[in-house]
Amino acid sequence: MARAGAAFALLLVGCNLFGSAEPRTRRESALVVGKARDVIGLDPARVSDDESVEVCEQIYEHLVRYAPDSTAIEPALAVSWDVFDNGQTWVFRLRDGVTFHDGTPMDADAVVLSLERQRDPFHPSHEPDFIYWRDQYSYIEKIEKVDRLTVRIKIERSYAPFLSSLAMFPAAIVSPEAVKKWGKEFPKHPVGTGPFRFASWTPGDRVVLERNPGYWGAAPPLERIVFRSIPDARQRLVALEGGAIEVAYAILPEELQYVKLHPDLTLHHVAVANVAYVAMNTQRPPWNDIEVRQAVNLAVNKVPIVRLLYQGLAVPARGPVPPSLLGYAPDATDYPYDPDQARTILAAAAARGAFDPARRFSLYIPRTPRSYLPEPEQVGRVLQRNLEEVGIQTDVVVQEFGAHQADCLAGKHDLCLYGWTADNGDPDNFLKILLDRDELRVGPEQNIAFYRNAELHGLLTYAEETFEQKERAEFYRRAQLIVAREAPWVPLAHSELAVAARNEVKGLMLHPTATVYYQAAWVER
Amino acid sequence: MSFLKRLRLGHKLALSLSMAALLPVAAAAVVSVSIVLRGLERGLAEQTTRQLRVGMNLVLRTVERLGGDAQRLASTPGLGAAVGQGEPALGEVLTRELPHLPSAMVRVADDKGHIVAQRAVGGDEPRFGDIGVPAAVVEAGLAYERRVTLTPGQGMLVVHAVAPIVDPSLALRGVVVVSLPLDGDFADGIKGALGTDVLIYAGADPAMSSFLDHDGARLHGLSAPGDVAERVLAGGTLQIRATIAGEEFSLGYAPLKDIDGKHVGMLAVAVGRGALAGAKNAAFRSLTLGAAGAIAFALALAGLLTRRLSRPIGRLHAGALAIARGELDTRLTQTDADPGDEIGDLARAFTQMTASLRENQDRLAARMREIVALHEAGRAVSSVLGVDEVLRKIVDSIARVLDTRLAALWLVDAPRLTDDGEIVPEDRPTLRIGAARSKGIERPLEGQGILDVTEPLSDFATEVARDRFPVRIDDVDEAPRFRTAARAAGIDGSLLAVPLERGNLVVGVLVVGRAVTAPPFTGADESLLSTFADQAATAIENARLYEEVRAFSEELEEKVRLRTRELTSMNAELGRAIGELRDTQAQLVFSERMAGLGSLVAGVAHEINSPSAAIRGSVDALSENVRRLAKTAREVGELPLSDDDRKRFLALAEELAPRLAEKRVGSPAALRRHARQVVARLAAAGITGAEVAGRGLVEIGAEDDLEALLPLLAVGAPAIVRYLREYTYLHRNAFGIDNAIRQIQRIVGALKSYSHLDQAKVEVTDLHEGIENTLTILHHELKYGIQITRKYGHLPTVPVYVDELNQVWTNLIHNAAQALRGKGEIVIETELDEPAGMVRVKVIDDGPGIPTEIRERIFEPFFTTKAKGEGTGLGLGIVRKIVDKHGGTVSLDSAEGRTCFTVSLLVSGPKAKIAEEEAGQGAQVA
Repeated sequence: MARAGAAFALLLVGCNLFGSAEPRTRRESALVVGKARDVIGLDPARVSDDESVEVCEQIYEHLVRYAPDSTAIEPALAVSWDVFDNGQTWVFRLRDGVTFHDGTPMDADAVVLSLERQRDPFHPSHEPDFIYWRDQYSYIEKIEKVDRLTVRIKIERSYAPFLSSLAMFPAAIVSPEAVKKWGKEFPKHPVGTGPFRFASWTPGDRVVLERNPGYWGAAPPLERIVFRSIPDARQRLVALEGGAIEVAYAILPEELQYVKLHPDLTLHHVAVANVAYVAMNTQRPPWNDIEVRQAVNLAVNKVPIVRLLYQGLAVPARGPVPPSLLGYAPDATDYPYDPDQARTILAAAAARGAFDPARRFSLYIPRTPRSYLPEPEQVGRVLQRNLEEVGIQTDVVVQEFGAHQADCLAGKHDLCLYGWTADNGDPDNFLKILLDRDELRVGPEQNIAFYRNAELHGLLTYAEETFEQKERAEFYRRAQLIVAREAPWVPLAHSELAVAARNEVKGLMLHPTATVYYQAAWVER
Repeated sequence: MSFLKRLRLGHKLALSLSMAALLPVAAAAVVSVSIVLRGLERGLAEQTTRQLRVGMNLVLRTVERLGGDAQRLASTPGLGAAVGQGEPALGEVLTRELPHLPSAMVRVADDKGHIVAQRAVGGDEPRFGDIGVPAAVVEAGLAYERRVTLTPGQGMLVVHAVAPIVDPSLALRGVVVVSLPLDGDFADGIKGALGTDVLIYAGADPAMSSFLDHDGARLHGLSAPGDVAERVLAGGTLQIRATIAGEEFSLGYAPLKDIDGKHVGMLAVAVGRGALAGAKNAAFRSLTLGAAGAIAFALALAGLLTRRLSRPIGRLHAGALAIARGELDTRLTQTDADPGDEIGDLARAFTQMTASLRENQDRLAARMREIVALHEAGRAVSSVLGVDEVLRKIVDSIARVLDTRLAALWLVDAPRLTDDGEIVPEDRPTLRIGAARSKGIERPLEGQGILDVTEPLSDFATEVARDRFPVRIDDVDEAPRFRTAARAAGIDGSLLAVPLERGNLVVGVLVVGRAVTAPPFTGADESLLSTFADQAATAIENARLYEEVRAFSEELEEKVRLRTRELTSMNAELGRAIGELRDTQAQLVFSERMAGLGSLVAGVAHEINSPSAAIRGSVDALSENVRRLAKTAREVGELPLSDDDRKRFLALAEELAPRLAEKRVGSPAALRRHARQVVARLAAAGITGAEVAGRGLVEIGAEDDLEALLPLLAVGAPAIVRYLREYTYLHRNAFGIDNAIRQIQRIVGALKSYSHLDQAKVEVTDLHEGIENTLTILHHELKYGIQITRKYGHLPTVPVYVDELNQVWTNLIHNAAQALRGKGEIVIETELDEPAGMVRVKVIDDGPGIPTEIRERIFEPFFTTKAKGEGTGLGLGIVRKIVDKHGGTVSLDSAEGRTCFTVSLLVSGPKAKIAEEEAGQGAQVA
């Protein structure tokens, strides 16, 4: 027996000796993300940079949240809500049994504190840099606790997009205990209810989040996420290729093809809820003439702008509302590139005195690139030539963004190149702000087309006071048909967010709000 | 090997162990060498991975650079114009620009996609000559796309980079396509930078490699083995081992993608394994030889030692096996074992062991028999209950087990007690014989026979009982005190006696004796008898207890008989009490009504609460209306209306709002229909915002007043509509308050009339009024899910006790509602039966019905089917009582789904009945 055993052991060793050696794989389910910049702070009420917003969105949650692929609203920390008093009182039932990462229960007190600290300038936890409230939530009159799991919010007037605003990052629900404990230092010690909890932050280097073991929803597959800041774009790509990081943001346009061709990498992209457009000053001739405005739409060739000046990371815009939003009208008139037709229309307009071919018009262009407009000056020059080809002579005025904005709001322009990024993902946030005149508007003044249309105003007002989503969608769809027909703009493009990831990264959720959610992500090794 | 014989076993074992230690050492050597080799192997795998990554990077950078080249060339100033002009001008631009490009095939197409120029850069025409350009590549360029992609073609992979040629306004002029085949030169280039050989595959087919054969000719056909291509083209990377041109390589494979993500080929790097394979072979050879030698040596040594040890051990083994089989007479001969070592000692000890084992086994068999008997006796004892029976069983068992001539058991009578309850001390216990068995007499002794045999020994037994100590006499002849007695009892051998003790008391004595021919009793016999004695004592005790219990239960039965008699008489008394109870029923009826009033008040309070909440809500909304009305009034004020028009509008609003406020809101379908019509009418009238205004008007129900409003709407539809809407809502809220107040008044009125307490006063009344009042008051109970259907006939007014009759309705409707459990229909039907001079009121519900077996009883007072606490059971009793008082009848007709209570009352009223009765009595008297 002893003899047989020895021979057998030797045989096994021999087998191992000649078995092939596979390279070792990493076992822990951690994901390393490379970004261009570090976060600034992690208090959702005062973050303003994309990096901080994205990390906050992994840590915190809101009463309601966006659907995975659109800005439609779903229950989150609130399980249901009712609207009373002609839309001026909203009562939210909170999810029971949810706790913050520090063990504090998520209840009505937490919701009241999270929002009241922003609304009430005399609140003990109020900070002067809660910048979003005045801009986005000023119509909220009061947030009150009804009972442990019920919150009542009173708003000034009937305003359906309110719900979308609650899904926006500043309305995140924060741990009252943590806010009281850390005070001004809270941005460095964030505590929410989200799928990931804060582990550490080494400024200038990395933020580490770890799985929230007590998460109320489906447990996230990842145990840890590390957000590393690697400012150099090429360095990020090298790290991605080598496997030091698994996701890389802000790939250089000229590297996109490289990423697409690389067998280990995948380029993920999503159309972001924003829009770049040319606004015509509709209060002055000849732009008060609908046919002239339509001719301008026919004169602009959007496809090469999108393909060449956005490096392909955009889709041509049909109207002001991006496709991922409620009530997007896929049937709105899309003006083709038809310079001949444009010339014919303009000749007719000139004949009846509505257009003067000899006049020179001003075309205002910003110098500063924006996410929705990466090459503003080049786009401006292409526009100038497109217009010239149909007989509209323009002088280009290029300015820094601040000056550009001031002049456009003052109506100095004939035509101007501009853009807009969604605040809360509601179509109201595009149509009302960009194309209506109403002192009840939520958000900044930006109708730089100075466009007025009573029917549009009526539709938008109705949509604000309607709580039935299907009905609202229909109002917005009609509003877009009016805008398309009346052509106060040349809509140009909705840009795309692209991130490169290694093939083994699965389940990334790129949202139209330009945020990547890691809740469902995992690494397949 | 004779020295081995002399060695002690310890030395032999030490030698064996040291031999065995050789094996682990050899194994450790094998393992450590294998770890080193695995490390080398892993290093090689990692190197291959690294080389593959760098190779891929080199390929892709080349591809990317080609894209940059195409783009640069496309944006050459003047190229756009030259494309339109054709070859000479175009040739000039290309000649100027091409030297800046790396070797590639360059083509220029016009804005229709026709190739207008073609140049080979840096290489000779033959190298690039037959590379075509896929149409899709040119088309992408024509769609303004800059694109670099890989396509298989001509048995090779070809990189195509396309870029549109645009003028400053981004108008398309043509496209530039730069193509580079991943050919031998390319592979050599990668090899040069990488330092290892590379292979390129178009799809799964080998396309190119940097390998040369011995004559320097390029090796093309190195196809990937097995399912490698399949797995790599599915997107994986993997490593294999292969022999190429007589050398061993590690090959790392990775897929190549086109721009759409499709896997179109593979890249492989080949890292030589020559050195590693050599090292591995050498290590394996030396290890194998070393291990084989060591094993051979160890085995030879072990074999020898085993032989020396195994023979004597084998014999011991055989002996042990024989003993195991039961052959206890087995002996090992001393000569079998080596007398010098432990095995010899072992053999001797073994032989001694078998001898003592044999002895013990015999003893064990004897004890075993006793224990079996004891167990049987125990079982017998526990299976009988009578004392005598038990004692007999015990004595039988003892006689059988101890093989006695005589076995006798005496019982001690209960000790006498002094007046203080103490046992009389120093008293001689009184014994009586319980059971005995003698070999001289066939059956258990009874009566005189038992006394004859045992009497001589009773003094001996008494002594044992008093001393409470066992006595053993080996030979009675040597014990003069008992000799005579023993012989008289037929015992001439040994005698043994033990007391039976229970707690502190001696309850009996066991005596056994043997003939002189039998062996005397031993100590073991004595302890066995003691065990019997314990069992016997327990059995006696149990049997006594049983007797006592039986006596007690007989007493109990007698008591029960007595008690039953008492109860029977009490029952009769109870019957009388029930009669008295019935007499007090009238009083209870009254208190039931008071209790009903209490729950009624709670219900009414609840009823009043709803309208007051409505009022509160409406008042809030009203103030909001006023605020908004002021705002819209301002908007209307700003409209360009003439004073007359404004007055007309305000008058119209004044007239419309209250009217519209009262109007019923139409169905959603009707609203949509009206909205379509109104919007169309407004649009036809050229009113801006027709859609919104139209919906607003329909919302407040103003669709019928459209024509009057049209001129005003033309001036400013949104403000006009908003004003009208707010004004109408203001009135609606006011109406809401008014209605709520009316409702409260109605409830209070009903309560008043229901509860007016002019008892026992007959009033001529409309029965429907009473029923309606009742329904109003029970409204809180009925409003959710119970539908009330009234089928009222024409009834004359009837003289009744109004308030009492209301209680009849209340009870019937309340019962119906409870039977329905909150969901169903209650029909109230009234009719006049003229011929009979009666009115009938039926309360019908579609509940589960009343079971037949209780239908007879439901009118009895205190009969209730409700759970305890829900009802007193007086409800229907009261109904019958009251209806009787009116000279009417109440009847029940119930089936599943229809239960109907019919109350019939005389049209002439209760007085007529009283009069009738009086008349009847009068007649009798007469």
